Amino acid sequence: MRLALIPRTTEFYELFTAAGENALVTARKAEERFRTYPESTVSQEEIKALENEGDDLTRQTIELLNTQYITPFDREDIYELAKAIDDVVDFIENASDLLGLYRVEGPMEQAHEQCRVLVEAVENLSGALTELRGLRGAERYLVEVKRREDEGDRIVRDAIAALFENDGVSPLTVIRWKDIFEALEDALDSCETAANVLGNIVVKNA
Amino acid sequence: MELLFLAGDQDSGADRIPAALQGAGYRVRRISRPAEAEHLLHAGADALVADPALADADLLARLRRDCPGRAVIAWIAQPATDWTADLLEAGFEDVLDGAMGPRELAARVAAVARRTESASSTVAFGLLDIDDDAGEAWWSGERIRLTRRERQVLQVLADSAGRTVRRERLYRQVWGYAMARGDRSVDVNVRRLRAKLGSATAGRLEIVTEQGVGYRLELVADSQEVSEIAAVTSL
Repeated sequence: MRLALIPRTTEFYELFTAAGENALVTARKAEERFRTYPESTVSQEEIKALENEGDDLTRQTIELLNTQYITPFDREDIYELAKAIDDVVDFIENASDLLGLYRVEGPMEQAHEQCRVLVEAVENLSGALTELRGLRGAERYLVEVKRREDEGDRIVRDAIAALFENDGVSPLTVIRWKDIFEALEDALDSCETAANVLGNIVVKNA
Repeated sequence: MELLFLAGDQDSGADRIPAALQGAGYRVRRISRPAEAEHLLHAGADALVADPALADADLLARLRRDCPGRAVIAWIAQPATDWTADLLEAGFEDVLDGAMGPRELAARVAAVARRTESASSTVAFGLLDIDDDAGEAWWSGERIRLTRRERQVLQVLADSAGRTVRRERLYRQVWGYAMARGDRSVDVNVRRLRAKLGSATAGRLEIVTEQGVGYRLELVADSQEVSEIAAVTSL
């Protein structure tokens, strides 16, 4: 593959901004789906379409990375950041898919809380990605992402504890919701991973 | 639930009991001949509230043989301890008297219905009938289309005859397991039931929320019935 000598660095910023916006739309749609489930106004097909969009943006970013000689920051960081944002969307889609796959009859409050925190985390991640070009305003967003991830840890711990408080809870309920809680937590962890990579970029390029 | 009220044409105080039961949501049909009672119970009426002077031992024996699951309740104008005991020994499921308030009358009929229907799979609450075996629910003879879960939730509420059922207990009885903290499955089904019952019963049957506790099923009397009861009880 021939590396281009004329840099297309602007495109990296555009792709990351678009990926952040796509992740935010996905998180908001998933939050709505969980909140209104089972009479959901958001279908799994909509979430899947957003996940496909995210995959496409990731593919474009990797292709650009592989064809550019000059990159705005370290190649490894670009790759890790693209992957982490992709993981956020993938884990959200997975959690949403489990609602149908596991024939969930009714939501659990803890999942609503997780979705709320996830939307707030992705809002801040998306905000940080729009500041990627200048890097100056990114740090305040990254702090907020970390704070939401901490909050998410407390929520998921309590959510899983609730499944095991009473021996009489259906084993199927435990299986379903443990998987869903963990998928939402994985999405939130990926937000933190992306925030950490962004933080490294800020430090290296300060 | 359809009740037959068997009373002679000249019976004094015979208006108050059927009026009170109608006000509680029961469909009450006034009749004056025992043969009519037999015919209508065969045809599907749920219970008979009868003047014991008209419902003799032979009628009770025939009804017990030919209409199992149909309760026969006696009514008397004034409370009378010995007479009540005699009637219960004779085979009446319960005895209503003219001194009982509307709430007690309705509660006693509901209690008899529960005892009688425990041998069958049907539950009745006012004009609501639920047949667990057939998996169907009706209001005033019109079928209400419910999912299995919705019907099961409604059945637990109807079985509790106007008492509040804790969310956890509802879950346990319908799903067969303990409810995990935060599970909103009961609330989802209650929300759906409210929408379906609201249109099927024209607001006559409501699910009332007791915050932090659970739900109860309530019959809502319409304004005409309230006026009729007021007119009868003021006489």
